[in-house]
Amino acid sequence: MQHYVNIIINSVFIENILLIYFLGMCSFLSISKKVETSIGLGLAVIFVLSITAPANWAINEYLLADGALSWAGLGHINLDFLQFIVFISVIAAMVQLVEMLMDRFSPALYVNLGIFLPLITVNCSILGTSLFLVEREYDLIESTVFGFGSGLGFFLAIVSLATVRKRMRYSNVPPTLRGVGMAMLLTGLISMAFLGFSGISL
Amino acid sequence: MNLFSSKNKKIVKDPLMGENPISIHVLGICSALAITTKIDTAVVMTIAVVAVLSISNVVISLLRNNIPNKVRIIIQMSVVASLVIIADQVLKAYMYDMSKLLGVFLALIITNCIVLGRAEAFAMQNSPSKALLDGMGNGLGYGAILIAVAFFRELFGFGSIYGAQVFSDQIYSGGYENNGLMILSPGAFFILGLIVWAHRAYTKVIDKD
Amino acid sequence: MRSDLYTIAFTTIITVILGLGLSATADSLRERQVLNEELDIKKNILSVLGYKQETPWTNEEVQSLYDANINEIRIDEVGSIIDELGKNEDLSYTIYQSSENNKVTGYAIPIAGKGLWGTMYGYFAIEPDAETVKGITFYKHKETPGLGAEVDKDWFKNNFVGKKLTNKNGELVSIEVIKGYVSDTDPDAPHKVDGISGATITGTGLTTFLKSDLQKYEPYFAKVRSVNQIESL
Repeated sequence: MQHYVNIIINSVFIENILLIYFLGMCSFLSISKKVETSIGLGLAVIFVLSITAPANWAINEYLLADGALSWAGLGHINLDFLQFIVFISVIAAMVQLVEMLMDRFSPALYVNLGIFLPLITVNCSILGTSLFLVEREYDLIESTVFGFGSGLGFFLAIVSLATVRKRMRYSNVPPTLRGVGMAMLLTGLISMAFLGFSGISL
Repeated sequence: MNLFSSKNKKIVKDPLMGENPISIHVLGICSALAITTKIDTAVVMTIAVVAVLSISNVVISLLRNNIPNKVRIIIQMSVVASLVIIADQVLKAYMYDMSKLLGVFLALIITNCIVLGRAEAFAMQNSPSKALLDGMGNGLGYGAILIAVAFFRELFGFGSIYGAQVFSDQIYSGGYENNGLMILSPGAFFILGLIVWAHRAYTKVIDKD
Repeated sequence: MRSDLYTIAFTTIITVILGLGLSATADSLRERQVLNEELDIKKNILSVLGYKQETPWTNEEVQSLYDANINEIRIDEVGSIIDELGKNEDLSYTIYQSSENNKVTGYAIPIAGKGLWGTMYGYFAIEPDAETVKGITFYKHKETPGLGAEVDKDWFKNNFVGKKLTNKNGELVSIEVIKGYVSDTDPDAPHKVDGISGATITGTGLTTFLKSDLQKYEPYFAKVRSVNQIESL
């Protein structure tokens, strides 16, 4: 149990997918102007990551990795070069599926999160998480926990930036620094604050 | 049509200066920053992005009249993903050490918004030769920022440029120390923020925000 | 309907073309990639055994240096040298023995085990006396940069050099990564190295798998030590 808590703490605070690995920056910068929308996007990312991480884990484990097809008697086939294309397709398909299911069963949630879902397919943090879990050789539960933790880390980062940006409206920022430039500097400061967590010995 | 007509030059030049994909449109920084601690990784990443972006633009542009509209995004994505896989395989075969350094970040070119963005916004409407130039221009514009960030991070983080030590031992014995923050992630954010600021001050682009 | 058919046909064709292209690329480059991985392992073995060079090694240099100086020995669980063929693979271990002018200069063994975030892989080198540490190296790990990832740094690796694996009675005690600094007055100092502050789990993980890996090879190294002892008498 403690091991899984460690994975979450690590992926949220210490190796934050956004603040340390820079993944998911595009949507991070364009969505973080408003707190409400950033919460929406953050939740959608948590949701999609918690689903795609175990899905891609299973696909890699039983179809793509070296010797993964041995259950079908094809142990000599190594399809790991297809990893990237299969992962991104799985992500796109999952996002589509989630969108349809949400629309059918929870219209209220769909109204709030639905608009963010198409953005998520090309969010690097989703593909990045799937690739990391293969590289780190996680098992099924670890992958799911890691997916959830990465999503939570993204959520935390984007909501904190959005709240800080809200405050920035009252400050006198040089015109050419406004927008992306300032967002970058703020992210740097938040990232620096998060570095403080790396002293935690787990 | 002349490949180097002024209009075509503009296609390459615009994304390098006025319309830089990173600093103006904030696209594709995801995969970029993590590998900018050293210039050499940034250079290899740039080459990979330019290659993938140019070829994917050409392929999409060649197919543009035949792609069914319903599935165009997924087709674009498959083309890009395949090209990235090929780039990854080639690196693993011919530049093994570099491929170890780039790791998963090379794969993340797939979700680099520039690549899909240019396929959708430019290659779907333009001829292959223009698409090629557009791909090269955007790839280089992206690479220029990447290498600029890497330049400062390597200079202040390791005291070297492209692996060659520039700060001599005398400077170190005089009390100078490498700035560890540069190698860590906040350094990348600060430098990119400052570069965007400088670039925008030069091109006079102002966000409404 | 027509357009649906067209969509399906188009998608299928694209998929087939891309699939063929990718398989062809992967297949044609596979051999080179496998070779690269092997060379990388060989490079690591050479460097842990103390082979150094100013300029980076070329592939040919690695290959020729390795072929000339490194001898792969396979041993079974009781430390007897076995032939590569005809034995249970799981119960055999490989030792990389370096020699110059027919004189053994060191032994390297593969080590691997859990760090904080994942498995760490590396090599551990021992002097010909089979009790003094010659070096340690890691070629793959996922430890936190700045903390656990320091295992890869020279200051940490150099601490191992010259430490003793065995106590006065010739029993294996391995090397322990402790928390904090090793004090000079500690009688067990030859078996301890300074830990990395903030990375306790990486250190204890390393201590654990180093010991269990060394134990696998102990039957062989015990024999080496007793032979050395007889020769010195």
